[in-house]
Amino acid sequence: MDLEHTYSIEQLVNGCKRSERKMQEMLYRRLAAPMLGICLRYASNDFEAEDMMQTGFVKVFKNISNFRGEGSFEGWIRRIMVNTAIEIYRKNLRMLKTTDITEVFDYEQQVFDMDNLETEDLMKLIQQLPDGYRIVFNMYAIEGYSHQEIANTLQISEGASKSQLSRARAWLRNKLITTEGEGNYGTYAG
Amino acid sequence: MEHMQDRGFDEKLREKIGAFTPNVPEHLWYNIEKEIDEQPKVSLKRRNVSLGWIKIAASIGVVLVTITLYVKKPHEVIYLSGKAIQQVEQKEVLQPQIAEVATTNDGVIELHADKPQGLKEEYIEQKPVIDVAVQDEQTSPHQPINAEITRPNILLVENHVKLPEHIASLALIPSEPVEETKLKRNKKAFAVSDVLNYVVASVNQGDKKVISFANDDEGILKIALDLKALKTKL
Repeated sequence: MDLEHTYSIEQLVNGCKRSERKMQEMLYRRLAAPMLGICLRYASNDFEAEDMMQTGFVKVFKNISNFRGEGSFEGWIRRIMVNTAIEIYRKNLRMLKTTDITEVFDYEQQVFDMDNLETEDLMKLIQQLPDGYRIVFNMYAIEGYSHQEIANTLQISEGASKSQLSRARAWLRNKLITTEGEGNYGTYAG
Repeated sequence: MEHMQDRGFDEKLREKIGAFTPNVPEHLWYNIEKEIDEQPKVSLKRRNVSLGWIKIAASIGVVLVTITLYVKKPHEVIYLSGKAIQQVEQKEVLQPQIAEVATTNDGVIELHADKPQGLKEEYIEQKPVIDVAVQDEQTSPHQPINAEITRPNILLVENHVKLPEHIASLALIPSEPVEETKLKRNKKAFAVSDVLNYVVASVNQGDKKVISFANDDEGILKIALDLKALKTKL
């Protein structure tokens, strides 16, 4: 019998604002898995993702008093995780290999089936993306940021952002086809 | 066409990734908890130390203000209660008239003036000149002064008396101001350290003095800091 009372996110947030350790732990356990999923996409490996999430959650607990409840709390914490990932990326001084949009990455128009692809395998593939490609791909394709927002955040040109995205897609498609060829999963029909 | 393919590809990836829920390692929460606890908090001891410094700073401030007030204290001006100096009308001065010049056997020339009426021949009584500004026991500041000043007729008699040198030189030595010397003896030496110690003692009332001041023989101000007392206070 589970005697533990289930608190709403609002109650947990209020408890965290009062620096109640129990509430902090409960909030963490509620949101840790999806947040680690985000960090895994931005990091190049599992260890980096864990560091990223740790830093992000510490920021959340330190700045939770700034959350006014105007939007969803999950959206707020998600933005903190993405910003933390970007900060870490900048700190590591991974230079983006910026190329002009005219130099579109040429890839084969092959079809492949993504249904049989395991999510964990897909995550591994994303982690293998070069740093510049991965961050732009995540921000555009998964988070839904515009090229202008990405350019402002990463302090690059919009053209460079588009170029990085194009290259990231091509790189992923190429990897998926290669993996398919090795017989790991079926074909993706567009 | 290419754009549509890209959209479809992104969407498919988003669906796949959205459903992904990784296993969260247990040690992560302990790391986070540890990091939250490491947030800088002002400890009670640190707070006491800072309060101690504030007390010391306040004491020094009080001392400085006291010194400033002592140094810049305005000098007390005592006004006499007497009235302003009244001009005393002078009576018409009788001019002496030299009647004859006589030379004595000793070589002294005697000038004999004509004797005005009412004057004694031998001595002329000289009435004292009253300075109204200085009150004596008999003159009240509110009483009008009715003193008459009569300037005597002058009998000029020139005597060539030669003083001995040792007596003449004595006259050049200024006499010691007696009253000033007495005042100096009665006045107690009051050093700055006395004031400082008085202030510090009043600030640290009931406890050992943390800070004390002293003047040495040369008048240099020395500050002594009792660290033991300071530690006890902190």
